[in-house]
Amino acid sequence: MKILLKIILYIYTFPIIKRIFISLKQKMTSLSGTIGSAQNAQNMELIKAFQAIDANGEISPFLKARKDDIINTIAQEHSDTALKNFVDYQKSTDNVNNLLYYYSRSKDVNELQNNVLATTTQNAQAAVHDSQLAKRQFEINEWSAANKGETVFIMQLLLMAVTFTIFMLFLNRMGAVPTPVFIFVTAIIFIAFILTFVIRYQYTAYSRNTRYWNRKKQTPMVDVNLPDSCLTSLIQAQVSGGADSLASIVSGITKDVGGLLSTTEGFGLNTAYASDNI
Amino acid sequence: MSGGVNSFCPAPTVLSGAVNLNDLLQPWGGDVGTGSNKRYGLLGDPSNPGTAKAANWMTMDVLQDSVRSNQFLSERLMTLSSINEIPKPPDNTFLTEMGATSTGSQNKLPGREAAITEFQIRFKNEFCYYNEKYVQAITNFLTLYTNGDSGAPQAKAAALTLNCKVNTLIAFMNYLSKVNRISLDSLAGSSESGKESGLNLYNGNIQTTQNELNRQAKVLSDNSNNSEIFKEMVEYTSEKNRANQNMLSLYFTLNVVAIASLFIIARSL
Repeated sequence: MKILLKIILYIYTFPIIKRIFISLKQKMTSLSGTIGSAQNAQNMELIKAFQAIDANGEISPFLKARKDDIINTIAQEHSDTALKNFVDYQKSTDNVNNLLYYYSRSKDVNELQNNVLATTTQNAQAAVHDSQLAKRQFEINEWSAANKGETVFIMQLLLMAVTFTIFMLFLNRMGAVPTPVFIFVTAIIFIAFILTFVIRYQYTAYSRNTRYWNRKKQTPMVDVNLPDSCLTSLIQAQVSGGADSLASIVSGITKDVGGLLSTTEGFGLNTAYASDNI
Repeated sequence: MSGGVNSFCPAPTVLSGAVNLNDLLQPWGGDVGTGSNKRYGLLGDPSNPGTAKAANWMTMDVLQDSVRSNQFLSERLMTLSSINEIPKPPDNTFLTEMGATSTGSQNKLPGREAAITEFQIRFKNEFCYYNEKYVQAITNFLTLYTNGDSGAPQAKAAALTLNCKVNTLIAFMNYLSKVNRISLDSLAGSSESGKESGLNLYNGNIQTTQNELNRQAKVLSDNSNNSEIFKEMVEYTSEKNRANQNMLSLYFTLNVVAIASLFIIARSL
């Protein structure tokens, strides 16, 4: 009966004791170490007690084995921890060394790239400069050739006028053409020549584009002064519409300016350089 | 005696007969190097006071502290690395000097590796020395205690001291692994500051420069082609200019002749 009661008591109390033990184990990380130490101490006491009663030395091999177990347990803990920490240190040191090589190589590549970049930047700038210079030289030559062509045209007109005048003079001296007719015709020819010369000269001097021969100069833009009342009402309307409206005004103005610039680009303004910056 | 011990250290020598505690507590005598390169181990040696060898020595209080306090380990690490007992972690100065030139960077790293290998061997020797002494001290203490010998308390104190030394060496090794991990994070640039640094910074720079180089290669290619075309065009317009100049000279001469003819005819007829 007593044994049965003990078994029932054990069955009911064991889970509770186990739970308490687990929670204690979770809370106290060093509990296993403490238990180990307690077990070692218990074994030592046991060995001491056995040695006291072992007058014949019959159980001394058993006691020696227990003592070696204790020493082994203690030494094993240190050995395992030392080995684990040492291997960890070796691995992390290897990683640091590998990363240092990688770091060093990356730094060298970075410096090397910067040197290459500096050289290519110079080359690119020189190439852009050469390209722009050759383009400008082409424009100058083209303008100069066209100007000479224009002068040749004037020379041709003059030659034709003089040649016709010689012919008319010859006829006049022969008596085929009366003098008033000669003077009238000659005057008309020379007036036409002079008018052509003046018109062409004036166009080239004042209206012709100085960069492109076949284009006309653009007249400079004139500021348009809006009345103050118009501006005030416009701003008030936009402010009352909120910040988004103001942003849309700014965006609209930016678009207009951008459009204006793209429009003027084709008329010989020096905007080509802006897109070639390095 | 123990398989675990044998896996990291040689099997400890088993002492027989009476054990002298002073022998057990002798500091590690396996010094290596000479002159300024001489090494005294992580735990030092209290003999020869006033020397660097003695400066490393840890008292029992210090040993017990060392197992608990990271701050203590950090301070000891600085002290020991300043006298080259432990290789210095790669700090900013090292990284700056390492990357000063390609040659410089290659020369410094093998030297560092050699120092670390030498340190690892030294550490293992020192640990195995104290571990052997510790196992011997434990064995001695157990023998004396189980025999009811009156020298058991002294043997226990000696075993405790050696236990602290072994634990301190293990704690040092653990702390050095932590320092390495911090160095790894720092080198990789994965610090919590959010600012790019280390390898991340260089990789980012390399990528940016590569993109810039690609862009410039395109500019160079385009402008080289354009330059060739424009040079040809300049040649063409120069030729055209010369032709027009010839025409101009011809017409000028013709005009002079015509005007002269006009005057001659006007006066003669």
